[in-house]
Amino acid sequence: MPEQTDEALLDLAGRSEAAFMLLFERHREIVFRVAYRLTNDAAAAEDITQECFLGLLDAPGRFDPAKGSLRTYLYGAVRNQARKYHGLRDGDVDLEDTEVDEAAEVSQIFLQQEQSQVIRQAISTLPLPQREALILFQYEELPLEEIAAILGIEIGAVKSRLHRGRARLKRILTPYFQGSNTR
Amino acid sequence: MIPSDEDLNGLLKTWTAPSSPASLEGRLRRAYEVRVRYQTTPAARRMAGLLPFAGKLAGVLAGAVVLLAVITKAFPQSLDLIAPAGAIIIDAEFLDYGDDGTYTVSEYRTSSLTVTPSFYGETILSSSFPGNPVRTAALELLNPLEAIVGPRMHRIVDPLFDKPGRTKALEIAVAARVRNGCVPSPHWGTPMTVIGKETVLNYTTTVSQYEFKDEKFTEWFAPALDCFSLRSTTEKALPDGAFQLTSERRVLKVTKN
Repeated sequence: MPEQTDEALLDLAGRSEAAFMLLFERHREIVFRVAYRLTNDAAAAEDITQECFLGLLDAPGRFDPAKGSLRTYLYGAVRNQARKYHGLRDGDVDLEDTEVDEAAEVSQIFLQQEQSQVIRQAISTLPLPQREALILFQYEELPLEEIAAILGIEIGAVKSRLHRGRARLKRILTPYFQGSNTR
Repeated sequence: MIPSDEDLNGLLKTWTAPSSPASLEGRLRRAYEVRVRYQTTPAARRMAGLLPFAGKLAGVLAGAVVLLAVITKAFPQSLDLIAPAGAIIIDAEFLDYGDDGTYTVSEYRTSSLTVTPSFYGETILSSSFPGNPVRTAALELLNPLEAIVGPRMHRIVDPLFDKPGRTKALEIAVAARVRNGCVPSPHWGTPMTVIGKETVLNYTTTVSQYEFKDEKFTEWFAPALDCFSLRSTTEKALPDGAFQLTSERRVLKVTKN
């Protein structure tokens, strides 16, 4: 099959399994990766990935190329599915500055020996809006404009979430840093 | 010591996500097959999505039917809803005849005589079928529902489909038929022949008859009851040319509600 655009494949996806699977091959890793990071659960990430791609079959009515690329659309779909996984419905807002006992969180985190596990646990303590912004910026390396489009917020709000998320991570990880520097 | 941005970035990079499992492809292919092969259109998927709702709706309707049956059983006066004060109530029986002239009762029926510009006929209030308890029980549930819903549906639906003036024409035809003593006219269904007058349950009736193929049908129309038939019989032709009674419907009692 000659190289075709995502939009052309999407038009064919409802009638052609080959076109559908080609779209899957192109985007499966980013969808699964973000789903995994947002849920911290590989099984949930598989479910979310499947739902996102099956959702593409309905996309001709929902996906508007004028508003962004298919990749951006898929990021938004993953985010919505992840919110469902976390028990949030459309329009629900996860409090950004949920009061948590950071000291307790930290003691749990530092029971982990692997550095990557420490980070994973630390990120999972962030409120979902901050986690979404951080994952899209830090790991997916998306520009702020695209993150704003995916999350449906202003760029300033993206910056704010990133700033607060990173500040929180620094606070949580300070003991770990001190420990690792003295090791 | 609070870590710097560089320190934090370095730490964050240590968290890597796994690759998507190979099994995901097979799983997605199967899901695609189900979605596309068996629910080919968005409309079909929308219909499938409505199934749970349809189930609930069916449950609600079934509940309503049962509730209605309970109410009409426990509070027979609630039938006033169906047969308002002044309505004519008809008790009738339906007979099936054997070749030897004996008969069995196939149905007892109580109905309300309903004559409106948009509806002409009887509304069954209750019925029972001797020797057939299942059918009796089923119609005990359905009759009240039909009695309540039927005439109202006629009032709503008929004007949508009737030609302009049909209701008025029907009203005039009923009145004319009553005025002429229920003598059938070519405009009133199958042409019938008047064979005489008889009194049934103290009502004067016009007896009319017609034959179709090897059967003969006779009706006893009462002008005082908007030409409602107080008796009707069906006879079959025998090889010698005589007719033998096969079924009969006869009214046992006429009361005003």
